Amino acid sequence: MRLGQWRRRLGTALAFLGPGLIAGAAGDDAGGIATYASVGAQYGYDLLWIIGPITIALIVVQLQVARMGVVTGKGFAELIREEFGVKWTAFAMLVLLIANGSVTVAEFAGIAAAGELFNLPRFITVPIMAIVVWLIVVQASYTVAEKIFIALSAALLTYVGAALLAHPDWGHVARSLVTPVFHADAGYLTTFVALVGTTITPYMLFYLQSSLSDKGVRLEDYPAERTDVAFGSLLTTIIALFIIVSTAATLHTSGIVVDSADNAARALEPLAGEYARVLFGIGLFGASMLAASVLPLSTAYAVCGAFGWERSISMSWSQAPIFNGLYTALIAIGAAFVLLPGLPLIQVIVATQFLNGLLLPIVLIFVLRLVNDRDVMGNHTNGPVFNVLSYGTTGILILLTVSLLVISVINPSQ
Amino acid sequence: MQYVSELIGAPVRDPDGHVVGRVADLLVPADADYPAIEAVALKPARGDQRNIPWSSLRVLDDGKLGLAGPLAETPTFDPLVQQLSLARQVIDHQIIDVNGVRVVRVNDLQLAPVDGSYRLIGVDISTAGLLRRLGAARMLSALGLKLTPKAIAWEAIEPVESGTTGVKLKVSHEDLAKLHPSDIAQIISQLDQHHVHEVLETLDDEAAADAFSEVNPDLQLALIRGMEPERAADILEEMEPDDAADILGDLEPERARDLLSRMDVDEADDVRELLSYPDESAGGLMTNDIVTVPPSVTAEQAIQLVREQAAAMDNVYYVYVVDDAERLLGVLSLRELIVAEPQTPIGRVMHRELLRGRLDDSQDEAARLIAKYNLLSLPIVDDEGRLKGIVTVDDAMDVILPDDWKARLPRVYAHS
Repeated sequence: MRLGQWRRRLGTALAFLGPGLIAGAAGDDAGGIATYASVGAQYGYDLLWIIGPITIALIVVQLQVARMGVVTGKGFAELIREEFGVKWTAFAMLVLLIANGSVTVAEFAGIAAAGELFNLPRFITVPIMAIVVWLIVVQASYTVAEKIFIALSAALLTYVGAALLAHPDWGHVARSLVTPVFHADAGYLTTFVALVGTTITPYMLFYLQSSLSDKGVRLEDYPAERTDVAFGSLLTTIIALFIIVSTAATLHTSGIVVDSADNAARALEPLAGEYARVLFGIGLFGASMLAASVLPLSTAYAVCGAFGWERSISMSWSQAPIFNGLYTALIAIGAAFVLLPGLPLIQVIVATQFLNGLLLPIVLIFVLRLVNDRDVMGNHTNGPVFNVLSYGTTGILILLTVSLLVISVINPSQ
Repeated sequence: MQYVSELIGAPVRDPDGHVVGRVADLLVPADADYPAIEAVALKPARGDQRNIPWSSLRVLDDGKLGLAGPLAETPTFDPLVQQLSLARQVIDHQIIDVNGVRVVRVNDLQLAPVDGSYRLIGVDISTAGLLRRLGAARMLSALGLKLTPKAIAWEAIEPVESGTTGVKLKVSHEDLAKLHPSDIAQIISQLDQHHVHEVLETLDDEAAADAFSEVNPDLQLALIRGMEPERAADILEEMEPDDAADILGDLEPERARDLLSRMDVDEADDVRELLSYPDESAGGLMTNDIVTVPPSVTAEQAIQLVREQAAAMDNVYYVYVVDDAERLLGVLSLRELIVAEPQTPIGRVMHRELLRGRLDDSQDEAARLIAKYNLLSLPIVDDEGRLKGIVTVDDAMDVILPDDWKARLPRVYAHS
């Protein structure tokens, strides 16, 4: 079975969730949870003001790839190949492999962390779940698996309840949403980049464009997809908001830093009491498994599409060696990395999101070049508003990276 | 052998040896088997790109291109037939390999020098071609690794690219139309959405419908959604009513209603009836394309009736005998009908004992009967015993066999 076919089938299975919503929900994976929780615990409401701009950036960026998918009928990776040639494609695919490889590591770290909440050692959970994920891919049994994982990850919606029950100072929350606070230290900037990197992931952009082009959406029907994308983005950042508020109101006030899943789970205590760990564990497991079973496959799909290698799950190893090899390798490497002795799971997860934030501008520049190319998009290139917002996002990310570099050179102790 | 990727970007010199620009693209006629390069798109150091006819160029000793005269006196190419831009429209894009029945991405193009010109002969689809363009070939050969390029003949491919904008390629896809519907379906499921539509546009309704029936249901939906409604309705009309009903049943209700209203009234009625049965029931699986005869007619008259009814059908396995109220009385195979004495009334030669399914039976039950008794089709009746349709063996197989397994079976039944 082709991945496109699988993806379309997934689409039908989740008819109530469009590709935009799925792409949005994918933002709240292990990486998202760990990063948002760390942000709230460490900086309280200080970074809350980013939620507004990041929502706009997320919507704008996703709408661009959605439009590209509808107008060109091609995947993002394939479009890069056709417009920029082999060398740029090799570069873009290397970026995608690093970004998605690191997110795969994050998902397995999430699985390990979830297991440890139930006192299961990672040396048992990770290899077993890696095999489960691999079997899901090989058997193409997504319809059932996805439903289970989505249902499990819904446990994380309890953050909304937990945030409400933690009785945060809503006036403070409201003021923080519109009051930018800057700290000129490396930790703050790193967290900032990680926050952007986990909300707007390169992976999501590739995924969204492919789903829309495979779905055969006509230009006339694009407005409906636009709503779906905007709604999905909004959902992602609203959940992010609640995770930050609940961890800020519980952990930050008690001076607890999210350095373990245990601590992150404590934010759910106002709602779930002694079951906070269980709820958090289930949610984290579901969200991590969901992303872990989609990511390696969609990465292999994009890379093979760009280079013209056979890419079909039903094909044997000898027929599609690179495709099969790639997703297997991604799963194996992701799982093996987590098993490195003494790895601090939550820190590793946040670090991978930081890496994604660093790589995002590169991907965004490809998006902007393509979406503004009249040969590719005809009359559907970006208007001035979209260009200002997307170039702005790209520029700010690059600026952040550069400042971070400067700060760590000036003051390496931080 | 010369590779197009090695010519693109190469400097072009005038007779004095000055570099006047670089090769931006090569143009060949779109509809030729092994076309010669007719023009070169030249990008001067300053100014706009310009197409220069091959006659004003020559191949220099180092394999690079040179102008025959000064740039200012060189004419601009005026194409007589539609041209294909190799760098912009072919290299890095998808093409259809007609012989291999697959879609491939072009890593490079091979040119052969013929009589002072270059002819396009092959399409390099190998990883070796990718590595060469990455500039890794020299490194690999230094390591003692030899790259064997894998190429397919230009004659055996069909370009599909026309870009989102600009002039549509008018490639006839004649070779493609000659392929078996299953093969066309295989190609369709590998192409990018827009290319699929370009290919489908060149097929007639019947060929498109045949290919359509062979692609997987999710792709069918995507294609119908992406098509002009009129054309979609035309293709649905040509399909078996049960196949058409399966697609329409999965579409958004509003779109399905619109398409039905555009279809031929009789065909649409058949489909509407099938749509009224639940998906998982025998009614939802059956087709109502059936051949029926009354018991009173002679075998000779029956053959005439079959001839009239079967003209628009893909397959006829059995002839069903029904009374005036459409109640199922009996059945006979086509063979039995043909060998029967011409004047014998059908009622005398038909089999009265026959297996039948009911509309609200499950799909599995109907499929199981077909498999168990080796039937080619199973009649489905309503509560009053009226014949409403038949479940054919190929649809039954879809129920019984998992997707993968089915793909490995020889296709004996459909379109044989």
